[in-house]
Amino acid sequence: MNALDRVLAEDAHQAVPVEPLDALSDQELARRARHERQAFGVLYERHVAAIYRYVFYRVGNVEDAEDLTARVFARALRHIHNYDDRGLPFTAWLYRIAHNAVANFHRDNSRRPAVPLEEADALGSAANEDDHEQRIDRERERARLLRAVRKLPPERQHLLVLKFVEQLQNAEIGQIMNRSEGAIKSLYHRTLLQLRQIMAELD
Amino acid sequence: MAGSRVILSAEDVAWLEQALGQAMTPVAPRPEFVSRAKEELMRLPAARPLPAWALLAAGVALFAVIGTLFYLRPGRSSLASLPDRPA
Repeated sequence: MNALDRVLAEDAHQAVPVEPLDALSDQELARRARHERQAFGVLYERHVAAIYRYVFYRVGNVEDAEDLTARVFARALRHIHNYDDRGLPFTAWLYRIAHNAVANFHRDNSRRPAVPLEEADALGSAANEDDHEQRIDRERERARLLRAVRKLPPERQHLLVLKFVEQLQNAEIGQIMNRSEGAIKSLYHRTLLQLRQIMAELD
Repeated sequence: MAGSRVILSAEDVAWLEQALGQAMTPVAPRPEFVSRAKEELMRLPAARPLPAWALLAAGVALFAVIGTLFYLRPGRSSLASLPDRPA
């Protein structure tokens, strides 16, 4: 270790401890992200998987889900100055951007068939199974259910993703969707009802 | 269906919840996508919003232009409000 390294090491040792970015709340990171790109990087790592899952279940294939997820975060970065913490969780703000991105995507691609890659993969791999007929039946039923889910209004799809993919409680979903817990419970019941009707129409 | 009330039985709810739980499994983004997208984000140029004074100055300038156009609009003169003279 030369003299310069020693001085630097001593300075680092004596420096006031800085709280690591990972330890900060979303709100604090969002505030810092206005001037500090690394803070936004932490927000990205914290939420990219959830936003990807939401987008994936809304668009149904990996390529579009990746493209839209990247766009959501690019847009969030551009508009991070507009995020105002008034009780609205950062995730709710991100989901709102994702919701708009998906809506634009569906508007621009309304004629494109949406066959989820995940379903196609599952059907393809099923042929290798011993009980492949049962497996194929199960996957067909699953594909039918996911088709029905994508026919629901966006808000109801969002609710199902938060409940079944993110495994959130009604109170947490209410915070993200800016509704009361009771309203979410009611919306959930109406969503199941509509889902059953759509599935009956698909038969 | 007008006037009819469709209800969900407890069995319906249980079946749908079980089916949804099995169909909507958590999916993970590919690690290479996550790192590539992050690199691209970190490279994006910083967005610098206009400061408040600039927005205020733009608003004042716009107001001044609109006011000037309104003042100089055709047909507006000190004589316009006088009654027509008899021929």
